Amino acid sequence: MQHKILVERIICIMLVATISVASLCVPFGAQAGTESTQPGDLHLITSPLPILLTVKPGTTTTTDLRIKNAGSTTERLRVDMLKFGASGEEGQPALKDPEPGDEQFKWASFSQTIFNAEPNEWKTVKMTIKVPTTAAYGYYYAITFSRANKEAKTTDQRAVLRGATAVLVLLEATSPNTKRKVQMVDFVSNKGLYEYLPASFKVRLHNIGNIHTAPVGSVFITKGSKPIGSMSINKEHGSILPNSYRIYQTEWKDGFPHYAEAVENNQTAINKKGQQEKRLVWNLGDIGKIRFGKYTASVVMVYDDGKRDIPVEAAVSFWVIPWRFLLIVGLVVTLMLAGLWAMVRVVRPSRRAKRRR
Amino acid sequence: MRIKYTMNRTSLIVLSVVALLVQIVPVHLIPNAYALTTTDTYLRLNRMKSSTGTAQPTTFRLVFKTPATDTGSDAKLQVQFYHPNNADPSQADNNFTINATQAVATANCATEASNELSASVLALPGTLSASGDNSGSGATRKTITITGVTNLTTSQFYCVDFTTSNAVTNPVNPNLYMVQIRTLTSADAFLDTKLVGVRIVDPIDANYKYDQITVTGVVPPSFSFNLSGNTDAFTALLDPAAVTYTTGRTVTISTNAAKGWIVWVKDSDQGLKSVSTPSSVIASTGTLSDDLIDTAAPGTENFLLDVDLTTDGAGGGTVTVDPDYDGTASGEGGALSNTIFQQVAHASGTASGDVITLKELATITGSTPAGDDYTDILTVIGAGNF
Repeated sequence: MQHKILVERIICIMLVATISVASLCVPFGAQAGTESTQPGDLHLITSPLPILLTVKPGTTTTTDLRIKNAGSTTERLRVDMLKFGASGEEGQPALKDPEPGDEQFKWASFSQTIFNAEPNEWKTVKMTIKVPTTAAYGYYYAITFSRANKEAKTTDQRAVLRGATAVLVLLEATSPNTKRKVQMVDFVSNKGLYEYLPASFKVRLHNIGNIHTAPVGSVFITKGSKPIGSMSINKEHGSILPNSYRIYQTEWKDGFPHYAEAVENNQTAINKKGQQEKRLVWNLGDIGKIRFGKYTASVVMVYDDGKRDIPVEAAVSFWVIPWRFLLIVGLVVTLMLAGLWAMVRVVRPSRRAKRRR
Repeated sequence: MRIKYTMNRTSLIVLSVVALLVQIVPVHLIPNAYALTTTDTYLRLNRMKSSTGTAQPTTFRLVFKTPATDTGSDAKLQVQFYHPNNADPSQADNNFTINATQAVATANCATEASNELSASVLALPGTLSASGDNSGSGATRKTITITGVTNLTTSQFYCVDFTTSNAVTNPVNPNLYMVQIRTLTSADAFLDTKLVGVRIVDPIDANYKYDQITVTGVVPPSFSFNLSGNTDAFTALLDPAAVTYTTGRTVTISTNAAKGWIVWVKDSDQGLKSVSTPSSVIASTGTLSDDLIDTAAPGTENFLLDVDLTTDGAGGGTVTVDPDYDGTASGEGGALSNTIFQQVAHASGTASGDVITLKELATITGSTPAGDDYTDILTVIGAGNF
């Protein structure tokens, strides 16, 4: 009997211990919702992007990073920091791990570094940056959100994928030695001769200052001295990092007819070469916009040097000659003239015959 | 006679071809770009963005050069703003707004010589006072007049700053505007006239608030990243005679940010590593970031990543898979790094359901150590561009 009671007690103690340990092991998030036990899809939405901060050295700045779990189960997320620089010339960042000597990571802290994100609920994480008096110019953070419980390697033949989304933060520590200067390296038209619009233009700028800057501007189209149209360039305020190049592009589409992106099933149509397919659009309402002849595109981009807008300018000429259309028109005219000539030849002999009679 | 006729016809054909070539060939000889030349008279707005959305007031500096011949005794200077199409009634209000109160100064003009010109620049002489007249519309010009000007010297640069914070307010439409500079006698007789162009450029999109979060009515820029799973199994056991692929996982991206998006990948081990025998690694071999595809051949050890464009959502930017990873034939892919985040794809503008598919592929030799636990960890990060 005593043995039976002892066994029951042992079982009871083991049960209590097991429940206690289990409750300790349950992730914090499980108390707030039903955390995904079999994480699969990871669907995160972040905002805003990117974040531009300007701060005086020796002061503190804060910014809100917002994240939404668009999945169907609660995700436990963590916040990490990387840095970024410029990659290529189209404004693509190059992500990098923190390196020894990267002091800027010591300045930054977050209101939460691990938290639960319930489905379809926006969470705000406050980022605080205490900028020391020694700081100057630009510091470029990539703040990543990923699953807190990082996926471990499996024991079968498969790759493990860890997803993350990053918010880019561009911090400027103001300095009297800040130099904002941009040079125009190139302004080119993709072709010298277009059959139909759009005509595409690329502006290549070089930031030779020591801080990021975002030039904006317009491309003006003229024929002779007559203004025809204008297009904005870098309306989105994309920045150029210091000592790097960036290409901004724009297109002049305002013509009859003009090529436009082909769309099929709400997707961009891709041709056999894997390129975006374009089709001619004949909008009769634009018939007054037939483009033919020599045009000039002048670009003016301005950046703020801290005191005023500084313009950088260039111009390029190009031709629009709808040569196939002209060939068809020429052929039709030639055929008409040939027909007239043939008719004249038929009429003339009959007149001669009349005269002989 | 018949021969002559034939020759004439041939000549005509040759002439036509030459005429056609004369029309077309020079097009290809056009230089691609050239900088605009600086003129000896210019009006430099300190803010050049248009007043689209928000009024853009600005101060400005005027620098001009007097002609070589003295045309009379200067006493006044006028700056007149107008749009080249102002004769068109529809353009009537397409002009600068001129403040009635105008302050002018010349104290900072000395810097102009070293900054902008290689010639000496003098401050506009005299006891200057200025006023603005905004009443002009349509073809009538809006004018700022400076009085009290002392007679000017010939062939000399002069400078004056219009320092009222809203000396002028920029027009709403970005365009080339014309400014006429003229000197007058005290009796308002015209002396010299110069015409200069002033460009007004597009501002930042008034609806685009890159750091906006909660303002009512404004849609903040956001970035949506959806990775379709967290594991990706090989479809068959690795085989020395074949290229073996994983099933593949998709990354779906939507963003309203017009600067586009980018996706990077980093590999934990730069290859497939056996969990039970960590020394056994099927290394990822190839050249990183050379814009050339690598190839894994059966009978050799390699582990690559193939990225394919599945959907380029309509109406947004163009999706581009990095050439290093855009495999099209069997065994083609890009090498992975365990230290560098490799860019695998990007888009040039907004995205509405852009989809790329990530597939790993591996080849082995006959002597690759046996094991059914070769695995690795790929970190996939997506972000909106800056």
